[in-house]
Amino acid sequence: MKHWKLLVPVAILAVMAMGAGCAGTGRETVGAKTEVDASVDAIVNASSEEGQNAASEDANAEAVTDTSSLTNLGNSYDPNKF
Amino acid sequence: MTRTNSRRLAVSLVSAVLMFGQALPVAFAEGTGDNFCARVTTVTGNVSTDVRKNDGEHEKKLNERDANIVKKEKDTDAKLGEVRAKEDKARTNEFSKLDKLAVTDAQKAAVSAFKASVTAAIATRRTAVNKALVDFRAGLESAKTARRASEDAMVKTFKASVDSALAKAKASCTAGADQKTVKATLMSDLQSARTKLETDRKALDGSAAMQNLVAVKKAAIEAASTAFHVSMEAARTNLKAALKATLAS
Repeated sequence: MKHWKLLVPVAILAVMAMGAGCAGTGRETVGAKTEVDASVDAIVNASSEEGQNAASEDANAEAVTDTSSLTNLGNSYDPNKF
Repeated sequence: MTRTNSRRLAVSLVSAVLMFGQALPVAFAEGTGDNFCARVTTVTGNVSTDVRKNDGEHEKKLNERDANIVKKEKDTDAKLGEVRAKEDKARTNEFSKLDKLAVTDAQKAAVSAFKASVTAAIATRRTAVNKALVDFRAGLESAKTARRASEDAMVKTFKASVDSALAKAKASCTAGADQKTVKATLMSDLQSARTKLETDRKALDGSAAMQNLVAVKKAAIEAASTAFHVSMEAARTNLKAALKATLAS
């Protein structure tokens, strides 16, 4: 019986040690996954401006259709002043 | 006549001449057809000068527009270069972090595969964005060239019509035609020239085509972005799965 009494704390310590070991592995895995996410997010975020600059050229299309100078040419003279 | 009176007379004469001189252009400008032929050379000369001046302004504006288009394209390229350099630096930095994370051969292989996937995804996206820009610029250039040819033809026709109307008015005056009729005909001819130019200008309006160019570019860039994000998520999932398996074992 005395042996049994000694065995109980040893068993508890063993279980605690196993738990601590498992927890360590878990933290390591979670840590690695978090770093992967952080890296992927950083790469994706860094490329977010890739397409934005191209929009700045939209004004060129509008500029091509501007024919106000032709209207001015047509209005070069005032017939009322003849 | 005293010296004072002489001075007063001189001042009055000078004033009268000055007032007359100022009134002359107004009388010419606001003529109603009377004595039109007496000033036809001035009137036609003014019209001709104004048309050529505004034609020069039109040319200047087109040249400025073209220069601005080229400048915007160069600015876009420069900015895109900056963005990509920043992106490359960030990616290299993140790759280094992942390299340090990988300890076993299996982990190293997983990170290596991830890097290859990301590099390929970025290259694919850049190629697509470059193509979208090249296509947009080519479409714009093509439209610009076609419009320029049309505009040149319109201006040429307008100027020829104006010159013809002015020459006809002068010839009619020389031939002794009724001045009011000459003036009315000139106004009508010039109005016709103006109306034709305006009608042609409105017909030229290619806003829809230009908007389509913008929309196609935008869609291509958005599609490239979507494909990039899909590839990145796949790379993320694969790497996490690989690292989870190796780290958990």
